[in-house]
Amino acid sequence: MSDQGLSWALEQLESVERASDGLLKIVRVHRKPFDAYPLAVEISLSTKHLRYDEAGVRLRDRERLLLLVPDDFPFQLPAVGVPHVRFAGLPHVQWGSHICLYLSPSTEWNPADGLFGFLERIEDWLSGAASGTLVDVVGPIHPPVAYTSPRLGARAVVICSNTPDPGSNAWFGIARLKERHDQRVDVCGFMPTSNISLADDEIAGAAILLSAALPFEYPSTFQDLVVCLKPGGVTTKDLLKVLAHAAKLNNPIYPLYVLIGAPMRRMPGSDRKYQHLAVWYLNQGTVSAIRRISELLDAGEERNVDDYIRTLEAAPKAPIEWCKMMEARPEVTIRRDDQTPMNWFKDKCVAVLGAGALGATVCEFLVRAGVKKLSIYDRGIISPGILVRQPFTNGDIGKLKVEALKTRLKQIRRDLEIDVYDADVLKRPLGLDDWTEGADVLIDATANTSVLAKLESVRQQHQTRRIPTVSMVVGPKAERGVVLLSGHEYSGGLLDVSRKAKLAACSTNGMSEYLTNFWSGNNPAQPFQPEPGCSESTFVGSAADVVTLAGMMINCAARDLASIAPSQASAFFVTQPWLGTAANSAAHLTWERDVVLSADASGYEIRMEHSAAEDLHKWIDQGGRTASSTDETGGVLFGEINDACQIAWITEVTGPPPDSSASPVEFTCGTVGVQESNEMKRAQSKNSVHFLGLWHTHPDSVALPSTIDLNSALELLYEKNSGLSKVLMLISAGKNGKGQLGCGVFRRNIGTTQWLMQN
Amino acid sequence: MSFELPAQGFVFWNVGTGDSTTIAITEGVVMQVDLHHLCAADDEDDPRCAVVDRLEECLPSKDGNPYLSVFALTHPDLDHCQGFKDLLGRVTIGELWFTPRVFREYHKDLCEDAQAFRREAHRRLKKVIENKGSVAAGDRIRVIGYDELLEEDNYRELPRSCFSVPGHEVTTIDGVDRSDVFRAFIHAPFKDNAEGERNDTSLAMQVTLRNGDATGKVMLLGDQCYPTVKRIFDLSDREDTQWNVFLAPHHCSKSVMYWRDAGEEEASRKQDILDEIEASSELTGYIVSSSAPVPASNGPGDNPPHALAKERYEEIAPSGFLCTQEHPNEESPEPIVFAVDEEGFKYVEPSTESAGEKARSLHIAVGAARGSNDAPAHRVGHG
Repeated sequence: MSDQGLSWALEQLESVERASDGLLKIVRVHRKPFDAYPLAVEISLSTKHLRYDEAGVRLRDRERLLLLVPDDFPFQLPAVGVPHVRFAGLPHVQWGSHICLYLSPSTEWNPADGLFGFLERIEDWLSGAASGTLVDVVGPIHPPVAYTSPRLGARAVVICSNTPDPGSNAWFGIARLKERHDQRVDVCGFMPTSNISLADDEIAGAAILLSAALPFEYPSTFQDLVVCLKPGGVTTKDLLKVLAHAAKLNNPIYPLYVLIGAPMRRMPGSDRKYQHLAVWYLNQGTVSAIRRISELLDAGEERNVDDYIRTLEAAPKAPIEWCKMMEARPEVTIRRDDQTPMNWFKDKCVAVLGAGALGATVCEFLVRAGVKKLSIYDRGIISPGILVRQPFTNGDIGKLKVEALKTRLKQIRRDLEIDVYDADVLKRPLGLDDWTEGADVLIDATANTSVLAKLESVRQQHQTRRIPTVSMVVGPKAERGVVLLSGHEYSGGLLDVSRKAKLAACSTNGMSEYLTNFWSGNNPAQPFQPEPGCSESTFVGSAADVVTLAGMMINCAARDLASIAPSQASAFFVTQPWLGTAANSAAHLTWERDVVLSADASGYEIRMEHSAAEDLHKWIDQGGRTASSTDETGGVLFGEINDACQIAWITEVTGPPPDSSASPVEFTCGTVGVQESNEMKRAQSKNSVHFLGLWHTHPDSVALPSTIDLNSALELLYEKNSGLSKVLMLISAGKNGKGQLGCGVFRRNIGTTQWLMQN
Repeated sequence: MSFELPAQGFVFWNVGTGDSTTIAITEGVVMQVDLHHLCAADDEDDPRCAVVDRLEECLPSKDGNPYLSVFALTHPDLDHCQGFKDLLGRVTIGELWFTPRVFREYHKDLCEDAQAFRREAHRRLKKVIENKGSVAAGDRIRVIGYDELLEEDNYRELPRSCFSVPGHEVTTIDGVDRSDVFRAFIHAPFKDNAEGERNDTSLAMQVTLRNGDATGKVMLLGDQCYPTVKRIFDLSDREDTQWNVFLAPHHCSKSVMYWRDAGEEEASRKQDILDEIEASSELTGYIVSSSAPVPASNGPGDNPPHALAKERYEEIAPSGFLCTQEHPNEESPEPIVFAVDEEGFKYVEPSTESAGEKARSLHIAVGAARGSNDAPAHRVGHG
């Protein structure tokens, strides 16, 4: 410690003592008591001013504490302990007598404030103890300590499996271990000694799980261990028997790991006590001796065993070497991503189309988020150029992306179920009858319009199993991204949602850049080919750009998967942060399902937006009020038809143009203003809303086209100068539009496809 | 103001720096250990109570007189017997407990009340010897401790039943066996201390009151210092040192836990005795200082009470440290009362409202030490 740090610590304490009116007293200063703490100060604090509640503990009127000032104070924070174990079991008390005052020292400790802030924390803790308001949900409940043996180096035992419940007695059994490398052994499971089955790559460890607590510091010698285990009903013989049992199962050259558990861990918010495990390492020499006991036991030479035990118990204090232990048991660990949006993916089966910059990155996020199973579809091969931004290595060049990704992801999580397909996604999975292949959600990261269209089509055709689908795409400079989500009960697929997102971008101020980025049709402003003339065009962007956008987009998708209704669709528009907030003005949109007139496999499906349906009713209603209620009325339909997917979207409905005429048997739709209106809508929607056809009413009959109606359709298609190849006809039957709805698409040279009716 | 003794329990009177402990044993049976009656306390503004007056008011009555079954004197110092003469005149005392040291002192070394005590003890002793122990209430005695004096002619005939030594338990009070409700375990004076400093010859005892299965235990160690206190804890079984109330010896003197061993230049803290005292505490355990308010600090040579002793006691008393003259506040203190009933030992809250301690906290002290960055409110000149 620098003299300066030492003097300052004492100076601070003395200044508080002077200002405290007897509340803080320095009892004694110890110089160089420990290597790591060259200064220790015993202080005595009055607690009489603290408020007590029933839930609190009665403190002494004065509490004695030992402040340990470290070598590098104030850059390193002090520690504080008490000379008793009265506080053992209280929140933030470690090993019975150390009080942990900082949950995150790296952010909470303020070197510039030195001991001042530390003393305040001490008082806060005492105050919380007195009032019973110390909260332990913010941190783990500190388990006892087993000091690891320096001789074992970095060797660590990772506990991956939950422990059996020992009930009211001690539990003896075998731990299934797998040696991953020379510094790591995993505990993969526990089994009773009566029923042992070890896989070829597994070795046996001994396990003793107690039903009562051990001391806060685990014993450091064999003799002390025996003493500690006795109250829990474990005799030396029991101990040696289970050790011998495990040793016998292993190759004689193996060391032996002994797991000793005691119910000394709690999880926040739960009273249940879980096993705290410590791992005792026995070297080969000790194991040989243990095996000898095993032989004696097998030979029924109990008396010799008893002699042996007596020798052992009386032997000079043999040290116990505790291994470093790492917790990965689900029952005592809380995921670091708990309650984040990505938690939605935990234990889900996810299909990802495309393993490129976005897809491969997203796959890794999903694996870390705990997906149960991942199915990846891509037929790409790793080329040198993609290493700039895709998570592959130089050694992967020339390999299939899906294979390299599978290897990488399995390295992250051994338990991951993963299927990869070197496939054209249009054929697999989208060419299969069950295009979901068992997935709970499908993510399209291909940025391919054909995939989007095919997804729409197969979703419509194969309605047996529907799942939510997500599309992610980044813009040409990786500055923006759009995430689309179609709920499994929503009226359309991702193409439908993309169209709606486009229309929203068209009609919203500040979103023109999204329009340019994502819906500029076949003419992107500056197509980019990394290998000019030879490769497919792609976007420009770095690994940092991609990971940023991919992270944001998968988070957005996760959030909506968890929060929107299955009957809804949504879009998130995301940008790199330097583009400012104006570009974010419509960052999140949701849509309800359309009014749908479903077709069979050969027909067009009609999807009418809610606003259009409302407008239709309004016009019918208005016609009924202004003319004779028996007169027909009608108007114009605007929207879009997609022949590939056989969908007609009715986006807007207008009333009769001013030159229309009506009678109880006929409605003649005028044309005044319709052309202009169409041009305007077409321009504004970038061609996604245009003239689609006509609607009219049949107040006194059914919603089927009359001869007059059929002739009108033909007239529209075949009239001289008509450029129409398809026209939509919609008939509303009944009073005030509260009856049947009929609709069909008429196509030049082909005729009507299928007349759809809906009551 | 009227004050009632608990049916069974302990009362520590606010008598300044001196001891006055009343033990209500059972109905009609009360024991007084030491007395520090101050005439000045008759003054209404004096926060110390005139304990003889109060005893006269609250003691049970026998034949029309206030009646005290036992008066025990730990040692004949003024702060332990002041007002005895007065008490003897106003109250009937069934039995006297004392150490042989009472007869050892030079007459001129004893205060007036100690002399009165000695006279009374002598009178009773003579009568007891004359009657071979068969005396009535008002003449009974119990001599506690060893002394060669007791082998001299004047004392040799004292019946064994009137005599107790360390390690004995006493359950007879004023001629009646009260073992169902009372036990005094005698710890001191030790034989080899009989001729030492007067404080070292103090009577020291653990008094246990019993109410069915419930008990209340008090350790009364007079004015003993570290070596004897340590010896008591070292020699005794744990059950004989357990306490619900530990009366801080010698009015909260630091000589209990700060002691200069041979060869040492100055006194050092004796954590061993603090640990022993703490380990002997029952779940509910108070340390009581029968003294003037404990100052925040002391100068060298200051008499008790000592601030350092209070700090150490505060660190080990499970239920807290109480000072008779600060209970519940310095301005109008009330006797500290502990009751024993069938539910157990309990502290009886004083009837008056506590004046409350000064609002203070470590946060405030740290704030003051840290200082502020407020702009100065006063002009300063520079030349």
